[in-house]
Amino acid sequence: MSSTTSTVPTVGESVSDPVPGGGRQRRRRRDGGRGEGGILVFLVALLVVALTLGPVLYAVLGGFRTNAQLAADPAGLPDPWVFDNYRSVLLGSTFWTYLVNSVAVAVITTVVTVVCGLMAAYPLARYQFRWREPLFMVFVVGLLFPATVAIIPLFILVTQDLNIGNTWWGVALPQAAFALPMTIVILRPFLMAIPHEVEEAAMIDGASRLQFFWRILLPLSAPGAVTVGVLAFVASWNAYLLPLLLLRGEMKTLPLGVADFSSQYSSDTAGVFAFTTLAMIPALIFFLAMQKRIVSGLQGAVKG
Amino acid sequence: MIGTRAIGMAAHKAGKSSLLGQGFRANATIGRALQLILLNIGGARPGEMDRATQGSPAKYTFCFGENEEESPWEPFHVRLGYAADESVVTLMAAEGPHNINDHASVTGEGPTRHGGALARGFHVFAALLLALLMNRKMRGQSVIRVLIFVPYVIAEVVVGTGWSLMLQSAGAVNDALEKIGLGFLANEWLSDPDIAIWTLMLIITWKYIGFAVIIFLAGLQGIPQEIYEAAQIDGASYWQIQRRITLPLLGPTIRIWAFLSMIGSLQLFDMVWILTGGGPANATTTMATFLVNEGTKRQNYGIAAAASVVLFVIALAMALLYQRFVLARDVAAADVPRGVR
Repeated sequence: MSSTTSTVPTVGESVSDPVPGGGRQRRRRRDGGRGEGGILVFLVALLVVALTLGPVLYAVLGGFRTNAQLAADPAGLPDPWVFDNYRSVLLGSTFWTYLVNSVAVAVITTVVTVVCGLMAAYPLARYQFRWREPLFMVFVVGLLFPATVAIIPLFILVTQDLNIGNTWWGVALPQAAFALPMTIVILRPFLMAIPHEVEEAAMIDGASRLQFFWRILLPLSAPGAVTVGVLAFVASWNAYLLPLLLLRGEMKTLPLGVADFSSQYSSDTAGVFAFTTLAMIPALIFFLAMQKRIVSGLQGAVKG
Repeated sequence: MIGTRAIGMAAHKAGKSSLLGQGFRANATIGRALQLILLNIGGARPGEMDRATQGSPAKYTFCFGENEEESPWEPFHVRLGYAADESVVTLMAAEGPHNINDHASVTGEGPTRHGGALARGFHVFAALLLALLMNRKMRGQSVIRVLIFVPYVIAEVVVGTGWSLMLQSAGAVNDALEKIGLGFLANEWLSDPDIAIWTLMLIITWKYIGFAVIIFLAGLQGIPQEIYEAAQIDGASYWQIQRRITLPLLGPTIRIWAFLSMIGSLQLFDMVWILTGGGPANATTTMATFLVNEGTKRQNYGIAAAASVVLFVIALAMALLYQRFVLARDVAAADVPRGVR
């Protein structure tokens, strides 16, 4: 009920602040029946946070220890702090190669997704034509078919029919294709929510439909576009299966690099922790910068 | 639809390059897929449910030649009493030889199904409690909410690599348990076939619970405050309110999340691949690891394509149910065109 009744504006509304604090208005709404948290509630929450962050922190700290330290006292703290692991990863070339590949693939994926998504969502939201709803349903159903389902045929298609096997585009295009359903499902309500009066006013002033799209709709739907862009970026950044099948050698992305590094230097536990931590950092920075958008995007997606 | 077309293309491609070896034809692949469905989902196991045509693992015909030079055994026709240099064609009408893949596929389906159901149940319950917790006012609430979401953003591969190091028998988890006096809980977390699947589920819960919490929080904020106030005036306790009001009103959100995580666990790959590779003894094989293993490591493209058809069919069935019972309502509500009519 709750999420069903929250219609179009909810997406925009939740963009404002689902995670931190909450606007003044929402805070007031929340005050009543949900109870003040006592000290117990706070402690339980802290415990949960400790369980959540513990493993992440352990990996970070593990990178500052030597293998001998790790073997002698697996659950201890660095003593003394060792910086060699991080230094050797950062000075090696492989990490940076992987990083560049990850960035390139993610950027291409994001751009293709946002551009195509906007162009597809526009008619689906604001044109009247016969098969509009069934067409939209195709995208909604597509939400449930990530690349895994078609991974082997996709692999053969990309490597042998299109001959773009070991390239950035070879990974980015399928990823963009599989990101499109989510993009369209999020963008359509956004575009629908733009008042009809605006469109009429533009038309009266002599704008064509495409001009309306470029001049008015695009700027107005920017928050939505950013949200779907961030989601596509994160999905691409974390992707493993498709790059695993398609990319070789110098073309590998960071997740592949982590997996490679950990199997190649499996005895160098501290080194693997360092590499893993460094691979985590870009995603974490991106997340902290964009967390409102990511969270609201996910909420918007689930609400439809 | 996507699956069938892609399979057709794959099979066509294979026909040209003879990539797939025996049994590569599209219809054989589809037959195989149907059969996997019958075996795994329909429970039509040979000799149990079904004593007729469906029961045979080799339901379609195939032809194979012996590589006599490589074989350590004497050729089949010699065993049957023909001379070694005679050219012999053997016609077999019995149940074909059991292929190791068939056994793997049977077990491959199991954990996905169970894992899905269990992970889902556990997930939903834990996430709901957490969301209720996070929804209470407390100091640092916003920070806590962001922090609990962190594992979701980190790549599954990275998470998997980190956990696999910590879960080694001489790793941090066992050591930490030892230190706080719970040494008897220390385990071979990933190499014991009985425990591996549970370990996996815990890690997946750890990673995705933040997502669930965020979604539930969004649902909670949509529940009108007046209802809570009315209940409070009527003298309901906190837990009564959650049980009688929050839970029913959060129904749609919970249903959506349940479906999402069900579909998600069906496609579970990255984490499993990194943590256990589907082992030990296939205890953690999922559909996705099975098909990638067949497709890449064993070059069994036909089997892999068939497995992806099966996965597709299951996902499609779920999608239709999802669409029928959940999405139709929610989309209808969310999509009331504003100012477009």
